[in-house]
Amino acid sequence: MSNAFTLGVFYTVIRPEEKWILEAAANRGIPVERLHDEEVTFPLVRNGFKADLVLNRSVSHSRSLYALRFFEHYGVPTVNPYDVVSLCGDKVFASLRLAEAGIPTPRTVVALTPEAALKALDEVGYPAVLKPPVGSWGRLMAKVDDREEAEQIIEHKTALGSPNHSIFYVQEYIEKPERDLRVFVVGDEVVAAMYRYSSDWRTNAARGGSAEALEPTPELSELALKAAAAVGGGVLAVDLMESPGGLVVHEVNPTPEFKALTGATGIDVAEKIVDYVAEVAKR
Amino acid sequence: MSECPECGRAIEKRDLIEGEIFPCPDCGMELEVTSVEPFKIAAAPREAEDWGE
Repeated sequence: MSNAFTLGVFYTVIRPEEKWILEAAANRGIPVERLHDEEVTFPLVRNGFKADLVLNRSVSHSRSLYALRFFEHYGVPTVNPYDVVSLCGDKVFASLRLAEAGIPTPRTVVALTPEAALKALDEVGYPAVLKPPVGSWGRLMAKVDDREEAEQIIEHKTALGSPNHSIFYVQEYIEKPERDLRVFVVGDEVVAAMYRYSSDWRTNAARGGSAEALEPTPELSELALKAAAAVGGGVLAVDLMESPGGLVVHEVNPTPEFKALTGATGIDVAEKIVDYVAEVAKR
Repeated sequence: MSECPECGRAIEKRDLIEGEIFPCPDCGMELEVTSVEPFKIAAAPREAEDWGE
């Protein structure tokens, strides 16, 4: 493996995922520059860091966006690129892109005011799911069972006063088994997949769901690869649900966690990521 | 050796690296290694609204 480049790892905290990435790079003789998102400063002219390519592992969406744009400005390629993170980090834009690419997704209606949000919920029908456009780990998502509940939740969201809660992303509630599917894509390859089980309607591993290895069918792999390509490709976790009408993609995560996936499958996802960034560095 | 800022449990450096987060074995509080030499720990950063995958 070539070690002719220095890998920058832009991070917030070192979780098992980041530690495994650092170890995989060390095993391949790839020098690593750690770039802590709480400490790095970004002048308009590149100054003071060595990395030839930056792998983004920051958990903060806003920090990621600004930093990735700066790295690109400095002529440093990033995994994932700014455009991919920007698109996937906003559920509205991600849904639009997936729909444009013909990827099946849950029925979605977006509203820009609290009044229109009630109309959007009526259009989608109850129960429905209300999500902030930016956010993850199932945080501040609400399953809305009827109009009365909708009025209360929208009032609370309005009281929060943040721009993120003033845009209403409404999605049909999918009657699914107590699990969803995560397919981890690196470049043009599906490297691992798992079921995530939870009796909570949110199956995010961060909410304490359990994981089980999944051997992806050709249909599942094809759909995940198509979804990943639609948003620009790279290192992505495609989350899908089994709806009565078939598989639907509900999220493509641009800075994915893989601790549960590694535990469930035994596949060294960190190695796959490091091999991929080494390949991108050669381009 | 350092101490959990919440419960005072002694924490050994082991193979922890700077920036690493881990739960206190006693009280479960999420901790972060802020320095390896000398070994220092603090409460891990609080999750912000835009944090995620």
